[in-house]
Amino acid sequence: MAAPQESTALSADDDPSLTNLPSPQQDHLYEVEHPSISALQPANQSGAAASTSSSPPGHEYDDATFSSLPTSSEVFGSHDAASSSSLETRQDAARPEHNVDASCDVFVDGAGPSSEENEIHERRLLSEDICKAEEEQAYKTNTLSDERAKVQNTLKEAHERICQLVQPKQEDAKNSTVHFIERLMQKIEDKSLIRKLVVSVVSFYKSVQELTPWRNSLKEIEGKFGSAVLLTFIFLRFVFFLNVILAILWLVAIVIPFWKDPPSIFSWKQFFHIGFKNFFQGNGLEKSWVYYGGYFFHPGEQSGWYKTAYMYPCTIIATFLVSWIAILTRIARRLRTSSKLLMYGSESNYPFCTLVFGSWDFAITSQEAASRLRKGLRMRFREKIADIRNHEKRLSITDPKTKSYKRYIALGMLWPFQIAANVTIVVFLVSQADKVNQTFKTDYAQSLLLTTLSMVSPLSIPFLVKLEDWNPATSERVVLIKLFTLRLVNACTLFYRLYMALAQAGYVKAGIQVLNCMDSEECPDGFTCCSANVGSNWNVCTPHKAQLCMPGCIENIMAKQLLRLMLTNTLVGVLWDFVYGITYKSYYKIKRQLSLETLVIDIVYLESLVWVGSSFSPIAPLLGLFCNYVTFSYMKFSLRRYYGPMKKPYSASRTSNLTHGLLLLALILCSLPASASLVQKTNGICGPIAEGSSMYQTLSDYIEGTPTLFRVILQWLGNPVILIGLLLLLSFGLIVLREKLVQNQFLFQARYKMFTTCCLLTLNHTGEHEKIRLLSKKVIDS
Amino acid sequence: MEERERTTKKFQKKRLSKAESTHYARTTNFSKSEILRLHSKFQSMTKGRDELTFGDIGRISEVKANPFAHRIFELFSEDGSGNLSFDKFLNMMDAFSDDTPSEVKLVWAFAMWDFDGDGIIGSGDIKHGVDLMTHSGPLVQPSIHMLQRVPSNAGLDAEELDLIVKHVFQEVDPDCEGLSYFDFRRILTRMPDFLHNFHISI
Repeated sequence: MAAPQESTALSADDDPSLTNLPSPQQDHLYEVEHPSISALQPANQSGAAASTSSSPPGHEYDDATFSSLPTSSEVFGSHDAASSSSLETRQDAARPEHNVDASCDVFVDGAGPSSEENEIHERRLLSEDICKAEEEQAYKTNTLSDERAKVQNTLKEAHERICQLVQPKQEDAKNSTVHFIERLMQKIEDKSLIRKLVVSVVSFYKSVQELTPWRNSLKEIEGKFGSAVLLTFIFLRFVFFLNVILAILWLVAIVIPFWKDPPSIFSWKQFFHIGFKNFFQGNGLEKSWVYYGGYFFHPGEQSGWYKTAYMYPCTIIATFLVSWIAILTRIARRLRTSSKLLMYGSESNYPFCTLVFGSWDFAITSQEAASRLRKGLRMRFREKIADIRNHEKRLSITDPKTKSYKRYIALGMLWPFQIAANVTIVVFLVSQADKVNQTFKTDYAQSLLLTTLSMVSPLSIPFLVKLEDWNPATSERVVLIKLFTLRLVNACTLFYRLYMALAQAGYVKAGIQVLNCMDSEECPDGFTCCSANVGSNWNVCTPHKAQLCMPGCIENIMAKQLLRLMLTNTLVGVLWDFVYGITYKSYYKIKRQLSLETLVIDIVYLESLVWVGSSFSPIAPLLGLFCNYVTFSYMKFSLRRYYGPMKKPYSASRTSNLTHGLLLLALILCSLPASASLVQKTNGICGPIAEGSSMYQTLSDYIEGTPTLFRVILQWLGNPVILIGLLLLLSFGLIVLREKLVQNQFLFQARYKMFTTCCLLTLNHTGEHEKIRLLSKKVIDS
Repeated sequence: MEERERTTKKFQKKRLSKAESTHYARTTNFSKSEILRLHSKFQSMTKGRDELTFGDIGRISEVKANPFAHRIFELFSEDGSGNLSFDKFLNMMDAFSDDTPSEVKLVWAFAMWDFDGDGIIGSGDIKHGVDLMTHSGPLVQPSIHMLQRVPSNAGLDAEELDLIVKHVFQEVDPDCEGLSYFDFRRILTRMPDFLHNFHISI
């Protein structure tokens, strides 16, 4: 009698779900039916058995339960002990105690009633649960007696379904090229020399193919922070690769030809004479390959087919094309991995199903993150339940008007005010860059201030949103929208100001506008005070007071501003994050939360600076590469130290949509200033394009001079009518494709519905499983 | 942590033979180097033994974090014993890898959620699964222990679970008979998050 009860008490402690069993008899039954349970925890059992054998027989139950408690926590490694969250650990700590109480109650039950009322109540609740459970248990034990048989049953069904879905794996299923080479290799196996060669080639190819940098750090991040954060970092890696491609493109197309055949105004000595400080500030390199202005070739200086004048616009176009294609393939690949799955209508249609079946993140491998996720899920379940209750309540009572005036004030006055303030500051900083830099005695002052602005202004957003008083779900979205808008406004203002300056320089050069510089007033940014009109050669002009304002090389100044902004944006961001992380950790004693949105917006902002900046400086992608690398290494470093696992569960698919969507949007927006610079007439002061001509003009002039066939093709492609036709065709194709996808899905569903109704009508559920299975196969095949 | 590292160093690691790794590379989605990596990982998990067992779940932190680990072991051991040899382990990693078609993943997810093995996901299955996901209690819970649970602060209580089951059925299956595979598939195909989340990389 004693022995089986002991062991059940032990297994009861191992597994809380067993603790509230009503009677020893049922425990006994359990033990007999499922020998696997006790077999699962041999270590635990033996440890506890030793302790019970030493104890006197009279106190068997209590001793068994109490002595096995530490063993269970040993074996299962104090489940969430690693978690830093004190609440969670407290709950966990409370839990085993509760188990002990419950099990004690159960076993003491026969001896006499306990004193406390609460316990009686609790026990009643328990016994109600147990009654329900018993019924189902009885049903289960009758139908399927053996646990392993059930598992095998499930497995059988699963394997059948998989067989229906996919053909048995073939050799070339995964990667046809590699397997082709492998098969080739096997054929020529007897010739050892060739074989060795092929082996080395294949292994090289494979290693290149599997060369996914930062894989280990990404895995670590994934385990600790979950899929959403991982996707953000994969996105960062994608942007990094994009920058690699762009940097190579610019180097090959523009910079290396320049090195090979530099113009007369360039000499390598520039780099050695300017000194470290100037080099770091980007000054003194105006006539080198670093900036657009340095590509200044006198007519006839470049002989041969290669001319920077038309390669430069070509490369700008190629930059945007490459980025466009890269982003689209990225999105397409994402869609393809989800193959036939449709990507719409999840959350709204099936909120509970999404939570139940789709919310556990299997990628998580760290205890702390898992317990955080559990907590988050619990909260989300409770929120959803409360939401539905509230919704039912709200149907009867509606009183939203009392709060709305606050929202109108915040939305209608404070938010526009903030945007206006931002725009003003950016305009001031860009147009008065020289003055600002002189005031602060460093050339980085302007870009530092711009960066600070873009970092400080979002701080007010949470307060604003709080004032506006949205629902919790909506407020997150509002915060995101506001963050993005603010950054967008900053970027747009910046680009617009820069292009205004560009246009103004053109007017002055053409003589439409005359600016004087006197002692009292100085020239606007990008202009130098010259003694006289000294012709087209901008480097000849000597600064002189009280004469005409002459445009300098405005493109170089823009390039400098953009490059500096990129650098400061990254470095200041990293520094700020570092300082904030340290103070937060030491002040609140907990690790801070990672804000994915901010990170994503930062990445996209930097990339948009790269896109615009590359029109003015071929090394912009290279600098972007560097910035991406710095961001990644810093984040890798700080994620380990200053960031805790996510409290708020992020949706992975939404993150993925967000990242790529924002990047695509940024690309489209950046293509506007780039195309503006393509058609903008240059002043001819610096850069490869001749005076009065635009990049586009140069390019079309070149096309005019090409052989007939090529020209005709290009002209056809450039014809707006044909372009519009192509566009229409493309959109038509997209719509058709989408319709087809939806149609497939509905067809499948309709077929399935027909099939099930037929089955239900004709076949009995219990007897004829085999027939149902066969029928389902047929339906799927058809 | 240090102790575990020390113990892992004790046993001698075996390397897969070339023929074996080629064979595995053919039958799964993994490349050879991936398989070698997984093999060394497997060996450090088992500490040199041939099989992973239920008992290892509590010991290996990567597995322990997964509340469904026990169920997954049970499924992929193919006989319900929970013992995973290396090829079964590979099958498991394959099912959870990124290259696996989503439909296959759906099948496995359904098998995983069908705790009682009756071919449909009933109220008990959902309760048990949600409990596993939200409960911060011990993770070793063989699937037969479902339906018996102790209410505590750390988990959702029975009333909440009932509500959840009710709402799930409301959304999908008004007859409350439980979700068949096709019901399950129908919902999960509308759930892009599922694919992102249903993957393990160790």
